[in-house]
Amino acid sequence: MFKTFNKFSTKLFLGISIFLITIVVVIFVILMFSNITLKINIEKSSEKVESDIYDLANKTWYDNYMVTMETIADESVNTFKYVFDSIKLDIEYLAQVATSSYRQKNDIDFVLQPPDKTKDGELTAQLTFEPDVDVESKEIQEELKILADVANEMILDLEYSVQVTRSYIVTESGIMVMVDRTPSDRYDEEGNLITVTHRNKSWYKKAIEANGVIINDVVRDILTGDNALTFLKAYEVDGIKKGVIAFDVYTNLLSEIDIGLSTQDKFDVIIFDQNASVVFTSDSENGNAIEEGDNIEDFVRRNINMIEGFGHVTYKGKENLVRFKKVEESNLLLLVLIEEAKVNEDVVNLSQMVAKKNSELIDVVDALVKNLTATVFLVVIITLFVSFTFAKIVSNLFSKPLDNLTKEINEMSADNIKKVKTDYRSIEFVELANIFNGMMEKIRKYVNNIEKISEEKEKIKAELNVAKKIQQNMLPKTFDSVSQRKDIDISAINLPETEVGGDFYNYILLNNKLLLIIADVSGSGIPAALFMAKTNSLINSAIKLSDSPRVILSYVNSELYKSNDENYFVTIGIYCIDLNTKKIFSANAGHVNPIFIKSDTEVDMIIEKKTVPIGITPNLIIEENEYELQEGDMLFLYTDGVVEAINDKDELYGNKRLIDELKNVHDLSSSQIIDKVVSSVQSFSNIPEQYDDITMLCFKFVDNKHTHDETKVYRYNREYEANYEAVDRINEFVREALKEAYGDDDSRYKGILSRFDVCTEELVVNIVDYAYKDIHVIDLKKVYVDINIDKNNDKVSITYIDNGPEFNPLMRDDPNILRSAEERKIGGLGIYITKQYVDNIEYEYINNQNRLTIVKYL
Amino acid sequence: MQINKKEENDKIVISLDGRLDKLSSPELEKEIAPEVAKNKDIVFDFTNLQYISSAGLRILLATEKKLKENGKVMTITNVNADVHDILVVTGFIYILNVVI
Repeated sequence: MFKTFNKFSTKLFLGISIFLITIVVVIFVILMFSNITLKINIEKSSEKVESDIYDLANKTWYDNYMVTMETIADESVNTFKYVFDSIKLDIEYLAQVATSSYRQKNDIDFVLQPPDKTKDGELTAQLTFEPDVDVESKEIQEELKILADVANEMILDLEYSVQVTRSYIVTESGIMVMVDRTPSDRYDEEGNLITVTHRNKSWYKKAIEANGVIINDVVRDILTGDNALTFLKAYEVDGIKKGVIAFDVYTNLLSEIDIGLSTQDKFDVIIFDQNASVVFTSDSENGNAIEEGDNIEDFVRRNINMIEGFGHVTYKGKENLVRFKKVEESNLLLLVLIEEAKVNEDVVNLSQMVAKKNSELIDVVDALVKNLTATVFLVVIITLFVSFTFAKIVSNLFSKPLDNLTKEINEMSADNIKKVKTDYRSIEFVELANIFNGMMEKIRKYVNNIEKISEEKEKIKAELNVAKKIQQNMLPKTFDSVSQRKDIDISAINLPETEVGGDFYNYILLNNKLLLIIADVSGSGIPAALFMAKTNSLINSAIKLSDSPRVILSYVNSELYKSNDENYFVTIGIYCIDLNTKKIFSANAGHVNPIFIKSDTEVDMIIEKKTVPIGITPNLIIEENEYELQEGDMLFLYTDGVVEAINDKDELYGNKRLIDELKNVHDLSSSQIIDKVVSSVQSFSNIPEQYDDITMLCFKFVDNKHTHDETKVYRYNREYEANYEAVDRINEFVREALKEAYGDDDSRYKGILSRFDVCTEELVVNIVDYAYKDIHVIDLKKVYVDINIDKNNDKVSITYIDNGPEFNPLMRDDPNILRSAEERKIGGLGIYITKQYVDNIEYEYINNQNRLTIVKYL
Repeated sequence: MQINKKEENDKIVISLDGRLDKLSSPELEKEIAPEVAKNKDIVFDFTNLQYISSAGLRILLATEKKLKENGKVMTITNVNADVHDILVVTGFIYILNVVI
């Protein structure tokens, strides 16, 4: 899917994917966050509900228990009250019976007897006396009769009583009649009747003093060891208390009282007396089960006089809630108890139930959240899939056409410009393809244009080269009468800024007079060259009229002026040298001043009388300058291109440098002097471009003292079509030149002619094969050969010049000549041979020409 | 330049007369090709060869290489001073079989 990460389609695809994924992820995160928050909130609220319900349940349960305990307490107390009330009614009835028996004195047969041990198990009335009673007294006997009547009633009453175990009557007179089923209890272990004085006992006194029934505190029966509660009532006859009737109610019998509590009830009901003894307990199975450490007895003692209340006690080793209430008219306290643990148990049960419900709820929520999460995941995955598909489709939509376009454009090359397809679905790509096609069409046109222009340029260049040759041909030939003379030495150079220039020089020998002309046409290039050609031909005409510089100047000026609509002008110096008298006449039209070299130190720039440059005014006032030279003296002429040459610091070469350069040149030939100045100017002007045409001319009267016949420098140059056939012709040219320099005596050079032949062949073949390989303009395909023979030094220099592209054959590595034939490569051999055959070889590239010079000393 | 070829039992003698230069070397190249194919030793007789340039030297070198591949020998005989000069300068005198 990913070809490279740089592809637009990939970027687009990734971009859209990342954007969509980001949105999906954000939604996912929000949903998950909501889920988690929901879960947390539900858990929190569940906990709160749990704790609230616990609190509420706790409170409600307590309240509920309290109410229940209150109710139980009330009902229990009421039950006991009812029992006690019935006992009270009984005892009040008996008191009533006693009172009426005393009043009525019924005469009955029943005689009261002392306790009869044999009668245990039967209800019997047992008569006893306190020790100080006079039994036989009339009052006693009388009272016994009354009491017998009462005793009957007591027996009857006791027969049906459930709670009362024993009833007895104690009189003020000291008689006691007891009714129960255990007469043997009246006797001690030795069988003696126990006699007790009751009237001084506190319960007796309390009963006598009281008006109604009183319930005495629980006491332990000395005989049975059981706890008993005693109900007491004093009876009276005519307002006088005659005695007390008492009922003993054993607490163990009270236990059978049903207070309505079921055994499943969690409550206990216990009744304590003032001594914290248990009078009644609802837990009849376990009875009184007070354990060590229980504080219930202390609680009872503390609260025995209270009417009612709440509290906590430990009972049977457990914490209990307690509701207590006084049983009316007694010193009994009724306690309703419930184990706190049991209360809590219920609360805890409820809490657990709530917690269970809560956890069920949370489970449901969990399942819901899980479902939701799964759904979110599913949605995310579907969305991602849809995102990727969408991104792929969109990126394809863009990238397919782009890929196609790129592929088609890649397949194109400069010479294979074609139209790209335009059948895209998106109008933008159709437009793009159309624009591209339009652009390529334009490029094709431009390429064609450029090709045409290049052809034209090459043509123009070729034409310029022809023009250059034509111009060069205007300059004086070496092969003329001047160079044959041995008394003068003359050299000149013309370096045009472009192919053709406005500078020119000439020298013409006329009847032993030598005319030197140097001129500079304003401007440069072809217009200047044409003007220069015109000027030159006018001079050639003028010299037929006169050898006077003034006349020549005047003639040329007026002719130029006639047809000079373009207002070109020429600075010109004309020097006419009489070779016999060595006198010089000159006319100067605005040209730079000449330099005369008299000796090594005497180098003078002479300020000449001048007129304005020619070609601009019809009539010139011309004054001639006159000089006289000696043998060995030199005249150096030049154009302003020499002194106005500049370097990269915009400094001018200047007159001083030129004059200095011309010092100490007396022993040099004219050509050496010119070479010296040229190299000086070129090394000064270290910038690649030449800003003006440079022309120099050096004339020297040869010092005969130093010159002999042999002292001569020979210069020749010829031009050849560049082909293999030229080799033989150049060989011939070399022979001619050598023959001319050395005459018929060929012993000097004959031995090395073959070497020159080889050099010429190798170099010219190179030019034909390589320099002109890609040049098809016939006029350019030339080889120029300059031959310079310095007879003084027997030095032969041959320069081979071509118009080909810059190429230095000397830069090639030499072949290794010691390699075996198998190893040796064919090539580079010609230059190698040439190097071996000559004494010096130099390469230069000047004025768009390759110049290779070989030097051989004979 | 004239090229004379004489086939003997086990060798071919090629005599050159004139100048062997850039102009004449293609002709020699053409003439030599069938001789090399004969798979015999070749003897160059340079008695009348006045001049030779690198173009000619290349043919000699190429011929030597081809013969050597087939185990044959190329010999150059009767060189003049100028030809000897160039053979020395180029080092060919050391790699070609030149009989003086």
